[in-house]
Amino acid sequence: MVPVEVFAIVLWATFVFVGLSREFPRELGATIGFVTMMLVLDLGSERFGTLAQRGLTAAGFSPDLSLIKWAITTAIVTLSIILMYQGEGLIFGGRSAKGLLGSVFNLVIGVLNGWLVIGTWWYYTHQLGYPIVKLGWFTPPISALAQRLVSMTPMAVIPDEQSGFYLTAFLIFLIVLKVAR
Amino acid sequence: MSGTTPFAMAGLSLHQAAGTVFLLRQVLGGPEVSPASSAQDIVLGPLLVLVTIVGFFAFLGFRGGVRRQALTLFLTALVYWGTTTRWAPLAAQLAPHIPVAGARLQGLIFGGGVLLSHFLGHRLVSAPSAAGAKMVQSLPSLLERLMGLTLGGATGYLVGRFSLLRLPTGTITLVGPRQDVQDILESQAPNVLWLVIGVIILFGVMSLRPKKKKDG
Repeated sequence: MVPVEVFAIVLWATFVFVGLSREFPRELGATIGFVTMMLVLDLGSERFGTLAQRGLTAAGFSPDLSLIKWAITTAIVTLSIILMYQGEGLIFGGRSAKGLLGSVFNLVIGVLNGWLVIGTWWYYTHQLGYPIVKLGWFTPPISALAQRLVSMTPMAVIPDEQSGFYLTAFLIFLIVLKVAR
Repeated sequence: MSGTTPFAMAGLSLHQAAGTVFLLRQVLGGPEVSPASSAQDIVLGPLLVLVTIVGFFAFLGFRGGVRRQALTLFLTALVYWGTTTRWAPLAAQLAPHIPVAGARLQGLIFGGGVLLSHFLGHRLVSAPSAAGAKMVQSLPSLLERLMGLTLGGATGYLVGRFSLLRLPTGTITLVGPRQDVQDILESQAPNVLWLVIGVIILFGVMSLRPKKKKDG
């Protein structure tokens, strides 16, 4: 079975390649959607999970709360990726800079988006105690490297009590840039 | 003008002025003199020292531009990694050959490494030898200078982080207790990270070229 950190790094690398091919203006537009996704998860993941559990219990099922929360988190992350990469999407005006400078920015924005999306998904999976174990998709324990990488994900880096402030400020900053451009 | 304080000139009452000074001291951490300390004690807030170091390296980055500073930062980060994370095995290898105490050797290697990084950054990525218009064209643009400023600040952060945790505390106290320094560095890390991300995005947007005009 592939270690979870290898899986996450491969997915992250995919975002880097996407960043290089789609280029900075398109990818920065996608960043707005990904930060919104993080804000939604930060504010609502707990409530979504509880609501879904109540609904399923009322329907006669006996669901596992952590597995439901993980499924909802994964669904929100997947939905945001589809929304940001399907169709026109949000695009910043202008073209990437020529030469090495442009390539560096394309690379950096791919790295950033991968960190935001994969890092957020991994953070919540870790916080929920890897409920995918119950589906047989993952076998604990996780390695020291994985523990270290999880501690460097975006939601782990932001102080818990200020996550809403940080994400809102970052989102406003991106929207102001989009409007100004 | 005699008897008019700068605070009164700025329209602040005595109470507001005292509050402002308190707030500045809380934010910058000093300088402050403890009533119990001797005349030789100089206590500088760690954050003030860190900001000064970051500012100095940011200035160097602004002068040199992004190309030079990128190499300098990369080399400095390597030196930092070697003298902190990888220090234990490295020191064990060096110990039998060099008769210098561990912490001092660590500081010497780091200091030498930072100097070498700057030297290489400014030598290897040099301006073209031809004088005149070509030379003027090769000078870093404002955007390249601003990016150099950011990378220089990051270099300064590494230097400050390394130095602040190792400065001696004695008769002349240059920084507060080590735990305070550690706490400040830890607490500021998310802010620094998000600030750097924001600045990189800003530079990325500034670097965009206008769209091609459609024919017809």
